[in-house]
Amino acid sequence: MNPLTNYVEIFNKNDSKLFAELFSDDCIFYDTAPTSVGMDPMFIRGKEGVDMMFNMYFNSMPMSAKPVALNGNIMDYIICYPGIEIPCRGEMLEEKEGKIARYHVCCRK
Amino acid sequence: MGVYAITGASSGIGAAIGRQLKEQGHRVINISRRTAGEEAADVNIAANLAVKAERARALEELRTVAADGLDGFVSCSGVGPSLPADVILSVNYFAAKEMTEGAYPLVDKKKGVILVVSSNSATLPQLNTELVDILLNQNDEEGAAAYGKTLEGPNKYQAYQASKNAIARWTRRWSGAWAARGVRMNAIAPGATQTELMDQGVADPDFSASMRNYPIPMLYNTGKFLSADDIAKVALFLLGPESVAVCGAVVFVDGGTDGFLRTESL
Repeated sequence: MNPLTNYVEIFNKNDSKLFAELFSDDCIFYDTAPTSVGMDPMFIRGKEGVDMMFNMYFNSMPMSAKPVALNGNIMDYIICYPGIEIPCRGEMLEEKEGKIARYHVCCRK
Repeated sequence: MGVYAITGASSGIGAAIGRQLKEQGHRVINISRRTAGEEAADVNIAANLAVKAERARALEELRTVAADGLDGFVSCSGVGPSLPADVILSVNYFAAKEMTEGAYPLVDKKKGVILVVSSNSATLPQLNTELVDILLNQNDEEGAAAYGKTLEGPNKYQAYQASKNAIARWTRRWSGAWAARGVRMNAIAPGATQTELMDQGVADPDFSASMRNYPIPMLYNTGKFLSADDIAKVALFLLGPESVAVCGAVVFVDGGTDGFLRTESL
């Protein structure tokens, strides 16, 4: 099964360890969407990194994702923080044994 | 051996720096509200550094106690985001700057070293740049206090972050001129460290969740914070002769947090 299928549903559980299980051990997660709200881009290497980063986010502010469309390895969704909505496009560039191995996210214009 | 003055050597990172300096045989002068134990300081100058007049009095006393000069000065006094924002701004920025400027002539006498303790919070997102400008460019303590009084609850974190950002930048701004006269100055930016200040933050419902879940890659899955002694080891390196080529640097001592959160920034 395409690991992106459950991405939004698992993201919305706000459980960083569960979310990190979507990714391969040596994954690369590169997200430039935060720059649209003046934050640094996010580059994460490894499943532990995904856990650490999203543990911080999930515990510091209410955060959710709204699904828009999934077409193969490209997924459109909206990331919602209090008062901020970022339209995102994620692309899975590599999959390994049913896990996301390389995932790039940008802000959808 | 050398003579070192430290603001805030009565607890936390300052006390650990004092202990390690004393273990090396140096004489340590503590400047803080509370008395440092004899394991961390030989002399105590009591002063509430949130109060401008007390800073001036403490510097006067320091000039008497260390009349021959200082081999090093460490600005370490600091308060956390649980306290009122105006106090945070006064202690973490204005007192740090004034005490360092006041101690500089003593350090200059011996061509010593200055170390300023900032925080890795200085570079986190959502920095209040308006407040940083009030501190760093307007140098307006009353204006900053008035602004600080408008910050309540979780927003007090803005004062903490702005004060630590401003003092790190002030260190870099001043370091070149003082280096040209033979005095090195650097800053360290510690991460989440097990101190009284951290205990206060973790106990505060406004900050507890974010502090507990702050990523420290080197302590992943341990539930621990960094130790003050580990921070102090880097401080001693920067105060000592081995770091002779390091000047104007802000050294992150945070178990990998800054590198992890800001991979794309240098």
